[in-house]
Amino acid sequence: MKTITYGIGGYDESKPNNNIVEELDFPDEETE
Amino acid sequence: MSKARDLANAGTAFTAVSSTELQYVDGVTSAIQSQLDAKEGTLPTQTGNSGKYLTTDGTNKSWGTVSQYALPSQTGNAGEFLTTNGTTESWDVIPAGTTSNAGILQLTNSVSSTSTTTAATPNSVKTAYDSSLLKRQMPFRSTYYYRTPSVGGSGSFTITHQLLYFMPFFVETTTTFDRIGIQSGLSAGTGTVRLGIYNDSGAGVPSTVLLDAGTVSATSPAGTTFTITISQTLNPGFYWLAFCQQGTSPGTPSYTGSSSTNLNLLMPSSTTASDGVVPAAYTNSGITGAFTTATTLSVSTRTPFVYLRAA
Repeated sequence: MKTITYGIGGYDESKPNNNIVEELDFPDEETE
Repeated sequence: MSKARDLANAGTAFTAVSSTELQYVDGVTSAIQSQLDAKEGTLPTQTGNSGKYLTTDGTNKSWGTVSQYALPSQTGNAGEFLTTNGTTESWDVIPAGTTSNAGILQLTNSVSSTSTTTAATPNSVKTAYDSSLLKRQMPFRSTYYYRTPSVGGSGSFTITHQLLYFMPFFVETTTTFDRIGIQSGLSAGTGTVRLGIYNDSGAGVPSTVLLDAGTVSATSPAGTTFTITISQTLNPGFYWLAFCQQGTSPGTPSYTGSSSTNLNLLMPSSTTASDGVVPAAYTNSGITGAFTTATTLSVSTRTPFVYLRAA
């Protein structure tokens, strides 16, 4: 699962990386 | 001066008078007693003016009294304060306070009194608070997400483009939230999703914009979580989570939401006692930009989920 976090104000083309401040990839949880 | 010296040297008749004493009359040009009598005559008559003081209006002298500063009779007025109406002084008491007039109030520790003429002590306020619903409200758990409330399962929900969904959300204790987000469904969208919070009108429907958090660009694979950093404190009350996909609509704009028609316990079902329509959200159509005050409302029986994280 992927999580994308924007800074205050959300998507903004005028800011670096469109104002994305964090981008994380989590491995899918395995179920027994 | 020379006459005084001559007198001092005149002989034995003046031996009891010193030269210094004789010099006291130096400068005298007329009868001293006459001068004293004339000076006393410039005072106002003293007869009948015992105890008065000499005063002047700047031109003439007169006898004055302090009668204008005399207190009203003190008998029977113990504990009262001196006041004036601007002309006359008098004794008075502070009136008892009422709901319409300021005044003295009796303090009380009661938590059951219905009096409107006594005032609660901090002790009674604490006692009431400790037993009130406020003390029983569940706080939000810090760093955890809370989502659109609904009854039923969650799944991939295909939303309507440019339709603003309002989902009711209840806050029991004042809480600051630091993230607002969504999750893309089975079919990753390519649209732009605007998120926010609306105030309740006070009549159970969304009204003004409390927070327009901005947009996320939902262009990543299915199941991606998109969040926006916020700093929004909510006091206890009803609010409306707002979701609207804008921009260019993807072929199948799906997001995590209610899996089927579901009941939202915070929404009214109908104006009649029937299950004809069980809405899960109010909606506004044709929303293409920043959020504005909610207008004509429709209803939706399914909703996308909006997530809030407690700071």
